[in-house]
Amino acid sequence: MSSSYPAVRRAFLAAPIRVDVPLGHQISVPLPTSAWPAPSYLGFACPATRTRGTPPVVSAPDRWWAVTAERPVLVAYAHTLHIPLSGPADPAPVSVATERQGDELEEDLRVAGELLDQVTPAFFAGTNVAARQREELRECLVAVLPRALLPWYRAAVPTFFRWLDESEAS
Amino acid sequence: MTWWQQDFGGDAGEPPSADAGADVPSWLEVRPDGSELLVYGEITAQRTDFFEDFEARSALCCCADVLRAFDRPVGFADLEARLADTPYRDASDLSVAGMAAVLELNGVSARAEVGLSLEDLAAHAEQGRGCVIAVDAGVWWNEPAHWGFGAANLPLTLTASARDPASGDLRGFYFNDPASGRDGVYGDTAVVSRSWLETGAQMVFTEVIKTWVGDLLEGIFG
Repeated sequence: MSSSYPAVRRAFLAAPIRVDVPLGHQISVPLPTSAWPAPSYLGFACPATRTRGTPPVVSAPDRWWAVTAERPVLVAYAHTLHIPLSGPADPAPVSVATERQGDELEEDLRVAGELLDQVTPAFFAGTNVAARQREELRECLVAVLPRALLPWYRAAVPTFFRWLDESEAS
Repeated sequence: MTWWQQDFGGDAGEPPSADAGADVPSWLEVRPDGSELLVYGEITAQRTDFFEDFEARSALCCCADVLRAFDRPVGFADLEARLADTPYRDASDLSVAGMAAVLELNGVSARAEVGLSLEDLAAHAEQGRGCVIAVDAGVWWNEPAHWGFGAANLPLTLTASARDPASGDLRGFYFNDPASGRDGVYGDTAVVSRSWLETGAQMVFTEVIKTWVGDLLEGIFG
C-alpha cells in the first residue's frame, strides 16, 4: 500500500542528502515513477540564481533523488554528472515566473496531492482510472508546476506523464 | 515537535542557556508602527561589495558576514584562495553543510543543524553565536516566483533577536539578506516561522561565542 502524498513529499524534503544540496537550488516536487521494480517517487534539484524583484533563473537539474512509495524512505540519490537524468533537447537556463499567488500555489499543490493519492495506486498497478481523473490531475500539475520546468518534469518521470496523457487519446 | 524534526531526527543538542551571552549588546528599538522592541545582538552592515555578483553568492556572503563578526574579515579573493583546494572551490552556491565547512576552513568552528523552535534560534543570537538560516525566498520576499514548494532556498545571516520589553516574549529577528542587498531586515515571528521553521529549519551556527571584551572594557574604564 502506498503512503499518502504528503508523507512522500515530507520524506523527499527531509531526506538526509538535503545537507548536500546547495541552498539556492530549485527543488522539484516528487512525482511517481515506474522506472524501478518498487513503486517510487522521483524529484530533482536545479541550480538557481535568486535576486529579489526578479524571477529565479534556473538551470538544468544537477542531482536527483527518489523515495519509495510504500514506506517513503530515500532509495536513490545521484548527481546528473554521474547518473544523468534525461531532459529536454535545449537545456538552457530558464526564467521561472508565475502569475499566481503563494497561497494559490499552496492550495493547488494540496489538491494535486489529493488527486495523486487517488490515481497513483492504479498507475503503479499498471491499470486504468477514469480519463476525467487523469485529466484533472494533469491540469492541476500544469497549474502548479512552473511552466518553464515542465519539460524537465516530463523527462524525469516520462512513464507517469505518458500515462496521464493517455486520457487525451482515450 | 514538527514533522521534519520527527522524520529528520533533528537534534540541536542541549538548549542554549539564556544567560550564556550576558555581554551581548541590547538596546530598545522603536518600530515604524510605534511598538518597542528589546533587541539583542549586533545589526552589522554587510559588505557585499567585497563580492562580484554578490546576489548569486549569497551563501558565501553569509559566511563572510559571520567571519567578519568573529574578527576574520575576508573578501572574495581571500575566500576564493582558501577554497581553491577544497570541494567548495566553485562556491557559487553552498549547502548548509558547505557553509559550516567554509567557516571551519576559515578558523571558526561551526555546524549544520535542524532547529527546534524560534526560541532555539533566538538563543543563538542572544548567546553571541554566528548563525545563518535557510528560508523560503518566496515567503520571505513575498514573491511567489521564488516559492520553494516547501523547501528552503535562500540563506540569511541572523544578526539579532527582538523581544517585547515588558513580557520578554519573542517578537522577531533581524537578518542580513545578501541576495537582496539589504542589511538589518526585520522579520516578525510569523514570517520567520513560515519561511524557516515550516521549511525544515535548517541552520548553521558557530560553536564559538563572540565576546564583546572591547565594549566591556570601554564600559568599565570609559
